[in-house]
Formats: sequence, structure tokens, C-alpha cells
Amino acid sequence: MGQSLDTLLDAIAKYNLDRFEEGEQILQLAELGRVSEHQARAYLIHLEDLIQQQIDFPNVLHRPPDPDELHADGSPDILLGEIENGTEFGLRIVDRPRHVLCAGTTGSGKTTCIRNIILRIEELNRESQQETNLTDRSG
Amino acid sequence: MKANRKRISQIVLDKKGGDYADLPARLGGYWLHLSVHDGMRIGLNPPAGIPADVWINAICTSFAARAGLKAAWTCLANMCRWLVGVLNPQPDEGNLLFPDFQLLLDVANYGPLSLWASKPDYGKSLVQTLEAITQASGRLFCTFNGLDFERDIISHGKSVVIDMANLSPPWVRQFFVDLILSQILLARIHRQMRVDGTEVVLILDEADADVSRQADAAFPDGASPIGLCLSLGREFGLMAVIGLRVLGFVSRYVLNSVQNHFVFNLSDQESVIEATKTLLLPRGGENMLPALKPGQVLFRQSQTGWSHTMLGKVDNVPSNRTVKTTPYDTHRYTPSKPLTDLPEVRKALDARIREHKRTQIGQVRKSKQGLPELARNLLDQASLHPFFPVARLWELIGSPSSGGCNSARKALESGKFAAFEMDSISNKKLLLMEILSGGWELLGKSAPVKSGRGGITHTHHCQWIARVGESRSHLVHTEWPVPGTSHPADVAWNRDGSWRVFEVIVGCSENILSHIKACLVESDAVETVTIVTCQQKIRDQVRKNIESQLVMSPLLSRIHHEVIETYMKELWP
Repeated sequence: MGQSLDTLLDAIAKYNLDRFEEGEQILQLAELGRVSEHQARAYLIHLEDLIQQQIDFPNVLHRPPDPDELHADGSPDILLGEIENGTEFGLRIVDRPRHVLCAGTTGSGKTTCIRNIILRIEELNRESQQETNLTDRSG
Repeated sequence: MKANRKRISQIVLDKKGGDYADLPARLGGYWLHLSVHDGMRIGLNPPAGIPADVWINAICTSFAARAGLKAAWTCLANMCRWLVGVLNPQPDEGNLLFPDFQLLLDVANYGPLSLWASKPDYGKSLVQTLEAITQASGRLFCTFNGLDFERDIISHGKSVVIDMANLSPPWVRQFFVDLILSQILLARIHRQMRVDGTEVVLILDEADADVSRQADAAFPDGASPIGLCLSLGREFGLMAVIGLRVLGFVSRYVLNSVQNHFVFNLSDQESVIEATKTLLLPRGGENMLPALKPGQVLFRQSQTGWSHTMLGKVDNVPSNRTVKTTPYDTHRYTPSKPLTDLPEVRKALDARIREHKRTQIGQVRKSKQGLPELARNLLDQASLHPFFPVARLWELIGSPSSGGCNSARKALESGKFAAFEMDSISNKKLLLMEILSGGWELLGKSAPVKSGRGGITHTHHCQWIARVGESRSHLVHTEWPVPGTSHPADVAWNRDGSWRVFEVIVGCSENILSHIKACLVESDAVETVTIVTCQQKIRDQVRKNIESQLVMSPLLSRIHHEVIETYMKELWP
């Protein structure tokens, strides 16, 4: 194996990039011998951001959940964003209140998150109002 | 999702006055935009359904905790209860008139503080605090019946952004927030409005000071109104969204009551440590916190299908960058009135003052019967030897034990027969005493006419100087009007036709230069001025101050400086 391919496979192993779709695919191709030195160098550049993320965020967290796991108790009433594997997350508030604490320095996104919550609740109100109107009209 | 016929009301407390200001205009008809500096009026009146007494206790506790009052809250509660009775001769539960802070201040200043407080100090602290809040809050609290969140907003499914930027000092802002939270929570608790879903969302951004451990500690049971909202609010349909900049000082009570913890970039050590504990991050996880980019969040949601910490990114919502052009909304309220415009209240207050005076005289009479013998002896001796230090009086009585002396002093003070003051002379402490009108009455003697201004210490010093003059066969006057001026000198000796004047300094020496000018420049009757102080260091300071003034240079030879100890030693060698 060439040096670049070695480096690529080391990086995938070191930073557990096989957790991600891209990393898994590259690993499968490498095992089938379909990754050349040139391609390995390209993949390394491509995976730079992901590698940097793993340096900043060491793989100490529990694996990210699938949608079925995250929403086992029911889908969120309001959506706020996505977790690292693309699953949407949010808050369930209709059935009962669940308090929220947002902490962060200035400019970290805390107020954006709160604005998000306010706007999504208002959307929920409007949807509910429309459903109520429809129900009333249909008797 | 099942149809939720009741709209969820959102109460947004905007401390910076800009983060959420665009929302009412953007979101339309159900949203109000109120400002604490423009049009919003919130009174001390309870929401409908809460008994006045219960409400008064709650808001007075909150007021005292935020303002740093200890016992004075009972004074405030007494005044509130009395005024509520007077303002509502025929109470209408839903529209009770409650006094505002200005009326409370007017009433506190109208009569003696002993009307409302068992100790004058309680009343004085309260008056100072009422002055502070009336000045700091502008017109915000100037209503006898103001905004009721349940009645005026929540029941209509409305939401509101409250602009509270620049509401200071911080304790006034915190009390304002407490008032809102108490209105919403206590009304629901009292009416037992238990619901299954969320009906009200309270949004407090920049809430660091409101949810700190210090804030909780100020309250008797360790829980501020926001803490109570977090712990009790869920079953009453209340949800809170709290924004913080720092996690390190947040109350445990608050952290444990929240189900959704969203932690964005944090860099200070205390916050990182606290976030690591709150999110249950494994070892090494704390390094992620300072590395989070804007919008990235580590979060944990308890009581859900997945309770592990997750890394996510919040959807971007543009921040408000618009300049406000639409006017703030208003609401109905009953304007408050000052005491001068409430003749019925004044009439009731006058009657209460009269009754109070009658009660006080009765108490004095009752106290006389229980006065200990030692106290009675001290009173007798003080009347026979006026302006003697208390230690000298005890010597004349027979030097009783210190316990007996203290008890006697307390009995005389509590019965308002005498007042005491501690004097500091050189490096010694000296207790001084003045018989009050109640004491003279007990002795069966008429009180002498009080000569001299100032407190007990100042009067005693003047009298000692006067007695020394008399012992030297001088003609002596106290409060002597300096000829040719409107200035009275504390003590004056006349010897061979020339006047020596004495000015006694106990605390304040600011007027001494004007005294000297009056005596030595404006009048030609005074030969010398002697300035008498309690301690040598004060004497030296005053001397230095006078000598530094250029205008005093020609007069320095006629200005003398002494300490009071000099005269005391002559009276009591």
C-alpha cells in the first residue's frame, strides 16, 4: 500500500470516521483495493473537516441515535435543528411542559435557539388554529 | 398532532430590548409589545382569585428579598393591608385597588413610623427602599390595578414581548420579574388550574442574576419565584425557557428542574465544569465545549427516548436588526393617585395616628408599673445630677453589677423613659443618658427646657464646658446668639467683659469655618473661639483644615483647639 493510503486508513481508524457514511464507504472501497494513491490523497483532503471535527470533538459521546431511537416517545412538536447524523431534534411541549435551559457565551447561538423556539411555537399555534377551524367547519 | 384549541401564550422578557423586538410586528395580531418605560403599568394588585392577604405576603417577601430588607417587610405588609382596606370600602374581588409604591411612601412619611413598625429602624430602611424604587421605576408601578397577565393576556391566547432594557438597579428589575412570575404561578396554584399540556411559555434570556445561587439564598425557603415556576409550574401548564451566559453560578434547584439542557460555546472554567456535570459528559468531553462553533450545541433531554448527550446544530434564524418604528402597545389600568388626592385615605390615616398616640401613652403608663428598682434609681440620680456620665451615676448608686446595669438600661429604653448614646472620648467609651418626657412624668417632675441643638453627646459636651466656666466664676451662656450675626455659639464665657466662645464638634465639622467667620469677622464682640473635639486626632485634623484656609490666616491667633477630656478632668478629677 502507498503512503497516502496508509495515512488515510490510519486517520479513519484513529478518528473513528467509519461511523460516518463517507468514512464507511471509503473503508469498503479500500478493502476492495479500489483506492489508488491519488484517490487516497483526494479523500484525505475531502475528509479534512471531518477529521478536524473529531480533533475538536473527540469521540467520547455515545453514538448519535437514529430517528426511531430519538423519537421513541413521540415526535417533537417543534423542530430546532439536526444532530450529527442528520436526525432532526426538537422539543415536545404539547402533552406537558418541559423546561429548557440554554447556556452559552455571547454569539454562541443561544438567543438564536430561543428565537427558534418562539417562532416554532407560534407556527404550532397557527397550525392548531387552522386544524380547529377545519374541525369546526366540518362539524 | 391533536388539535390544541388553546393557543400557547408566550411571555418574553427582553432584557436587552432588541433581541425579540421584531417578533410582535412580524407575528401579528396575537402579539403585544410592551415597554416598562412607555405605557406598561403593573400594580401590586393580586390576580383575580387570590386573597389579598396571601398575595401581600408573597409580594412583600419577594420585595424584601430583592431589596435586601430583613424585618422591614412586615412593616410593608402592614401598610399594604391597611391601605387595601381603606382603598376598597366595598371590595370587588376581581378589581381590588392596591396601593402603589408612591402611595406607600407618602403614607410612611405622613405619620410616625411606629404606626407600622415595632422598631424605627425597620421603618427607616423601608422608606429608603421605597424612595429608591419610586425613583428608579418611573411610571411602571403607578397604578392601583394594573396588568393582570392571566386576565389580559393568557386567557385571550395572546403573547407579549416586554421590553425591559435599562430598568435598573438590578433589584428593581428582579422584583419586576418576580411580580410577573408570581401573578401567573400563584393564580394557577390558588385556582388549582392543573392542566395536561403547556399553556404558557415564559422566556427569560440573560437570566444569570435571576437564577443564581445568591438569588435563591435571599428567599426564606431558598427558592425564588423563578425557582418555584420551574419546580411547580409544570403541572399548571407553565414552561420556562431560560437563557444564560454563565453556568458556574446557577442554582442547583434550577439546574435540577430543567428537562432540556442546551449548552453552546462556553469558555470559562466554572461554566465548563458545571456543563460537564449537567450534561454527564464522559472524560475528555469537556474539551468540546470551548470548541463549539456558533450554532453548534451539546444537549441532553431527560425523560425522553434518548437520554445521552448529543452534538447538534440549531437552525439559523436571522437575528433582529431592525430599528423599532411602531409604537408600543398599551393596556387598561387604574391610574394611581398620591396621598394628597385621596382625602378619605388621609382622614383614615389621621384617625389611625390619633389612636396610635393614645395606645402609646397607655403603654407608657403600663410600663411604669413594671420598672425595676435599679432602673428607677438610675433615673432618680440622672435627674439629680444632670449631664453626668452614666458610669458616674452608677458610682453614686453603689456600682451594681454589669448585668444589672444593662437590664436597667434596657428597661428605661424600652419604656421610653430615657435615651442612651455612646460617646468616644480619646480612647475611652462613655455612655451618656438623657431623660425623656416619659421619664420626667414617672419621676413626677417637669422636664427642663432643652437648651442646645444636636444629640445627647453634643448637649453633654456643651454642658460640661458651661459648668467648667461656672466653676471658674465666669458668666456662662449656652446657645449664645453672637452679636451682629444670626449665629448661635454652642457655649460662651464672659470674663471681664470679653467673650470667649466654644464650638463643639461631635461628628460633622463642615460648618466650622462659617462659625468662625461669624464669631471673629462678622461680630466684634468675640475675643476668641475654642474648637472642642472628642479626640486628639480629630482636633489635629480640624486644626489642619482651618490653617490650610488662606482666609483664616489673620484669625489663627484667636482660634484655640481643645479636647473635651480637658474639661471632663476638671469636673471629675
